[in-house]
Amino acid sequence: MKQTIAISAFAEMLARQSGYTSDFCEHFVVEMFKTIADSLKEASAVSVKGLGTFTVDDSGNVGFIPDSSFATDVNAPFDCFEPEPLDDDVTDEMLSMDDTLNNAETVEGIDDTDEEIAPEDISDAPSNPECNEVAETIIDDCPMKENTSDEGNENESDIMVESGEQSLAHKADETPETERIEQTPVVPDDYPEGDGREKSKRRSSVWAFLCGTACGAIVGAAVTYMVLVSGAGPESEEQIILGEQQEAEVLDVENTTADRDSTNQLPAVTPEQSIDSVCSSDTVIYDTVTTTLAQLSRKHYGSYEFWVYIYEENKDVISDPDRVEPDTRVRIPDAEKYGIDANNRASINNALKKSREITRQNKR
Amino acid sequence: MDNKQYITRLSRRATLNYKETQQLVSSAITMITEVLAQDDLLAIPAFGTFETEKKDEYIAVDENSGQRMLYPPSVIAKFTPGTILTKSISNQQ
Repeated sequence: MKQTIAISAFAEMLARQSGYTSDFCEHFVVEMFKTIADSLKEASAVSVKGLGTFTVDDSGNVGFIPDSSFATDVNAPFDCFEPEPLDDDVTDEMLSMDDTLNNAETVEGIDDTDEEIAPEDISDAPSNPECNEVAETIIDDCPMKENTSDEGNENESDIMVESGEQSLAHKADETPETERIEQTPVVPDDYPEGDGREKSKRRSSVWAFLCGTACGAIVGAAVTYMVLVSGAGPESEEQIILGEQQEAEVLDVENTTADRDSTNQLPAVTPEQSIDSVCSSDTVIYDTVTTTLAQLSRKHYGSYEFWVYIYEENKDVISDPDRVEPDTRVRIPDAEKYGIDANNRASINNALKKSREITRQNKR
Repeated sequence: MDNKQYITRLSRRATLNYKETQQLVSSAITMITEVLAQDDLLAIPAFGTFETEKKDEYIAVDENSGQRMLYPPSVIAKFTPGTILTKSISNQQ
C-alpha cells in the first residue's frame, strides 16, 4: 500500500542518516527543492546529479527525467530482467490468450470424452455377425441395458472380492450357453464392459489400499506399543538426566556439578525456562540494517516511526540510533510486545514520544 | 543549470560549504530512492510529489535490429509538479 511521506518525516530520516538535526534537515530539504524551483524560472533545465533533470517547456509544464543511477535503483526489483527477442510467429494475442487456450484445451478434452461414450459409436462396435440382431435390440434399449450391464459387473466384482477365483470358475460352470450368447452382446466391446472393468479394477485397488493401510496401522501401533512398554523405564530417566545436563550447560547454570543421582534437585534446573527461552529465540526475527532503522521499521511494521522499538531491542548492538553501521544485524521485536500498529494513531504517537525522549538522551 | 552550479547556489542558501552540501544532497537522494523503493510517495510542499509507476511488460520493435522484443516490466520514478510550482513558473514566463 502506498504511504505518503511528509517532509517532516523525510527530514527526520535524513537527520538520522546524516547526523544533522531534523529541523536543519527539514530546512535543507525545503531549500534544496526551492533552489530547483527558482532555477527553473531562470533556466529551462536544472540537472541534479544522482536524481535527474527537471525541465520546463515553452508552455510552462514541468517535466522530470530521472538520472540513470536513480532510475536503476528505483527499478531494482525488475533490474534482473532483460528484453527477449520474439519469434515472428508470436503475436500479442497469443501471449495474452494463454489462459484462454488452456481453458479451450480442457473443454476439448471434455468433448472428446463425450464423443467416446456417444451411443452412435456403439453401433459400430459389435463385429460378430451372429450377434448383430441381438446387438441391434441392445442399441434400441441402450440406457436400460447399460444399467443392467453395470449391475452385472458390480455383482461380478463383488463375487471376485468375496471368494476369489473359485467363484469365477463356479460361475463359468453354472452359466448356460444361451445366457453366454446373450451376455456377450449385452456387453458391447468398447463401452459398457470396459467401463465395468475399470470400475471393478478401481474397487479392487481401493480395497487393496484400504486393507494395506489398515494392516500397516495395526502393525505400527503394535510395534510402537511394544517399544514404549519395554523401553520406557530406565532409558527415559537417562534421557531426562542427559537433557537436563545439556540445558544446564546451555543456560550456564552454576550448579551443573550437582549430584546427578539426586533427582529432586535436577528438575529445579527449570526445563520450562529453557523451553521458553528456546521458543522465544525461535520467534525472534533478525534483519540487517541497510541505511536506517526507520527503513527497517517501515519494512516490518508498515510505518517509519516504530524504529524506536528496534533501537530499544538492540541497545547492546546500537550505541547511537542516528548512526547505525551498515550491515548491522538487529533483532526485530514482535509487534505485539510494544503494541505496534501502523493504523493506530495512538501507537504512532507513543513511538514519536519515545523518539523525542531518545533524541533528548543522546543530546545529553 | 548543471549540478555544480546548483550545488553552489544551494550551499549559499543553506549556509554550508560545497562539500557538505554535496554530501547532504547525496544523502537526501539516497533517502528519496529508498522511499520510492518502498513504493511510497514523497510530497514536497510547494514543489511536487515523487512517486513510482509500474509499467507492465510489452512488445515493441527494436529500432536498431528491427526485431520484435518482449520488454520486461519495470518501475519508473515519476514526478508530479505541484500547483504552486506550476503557477509560479507560468507567471514568470
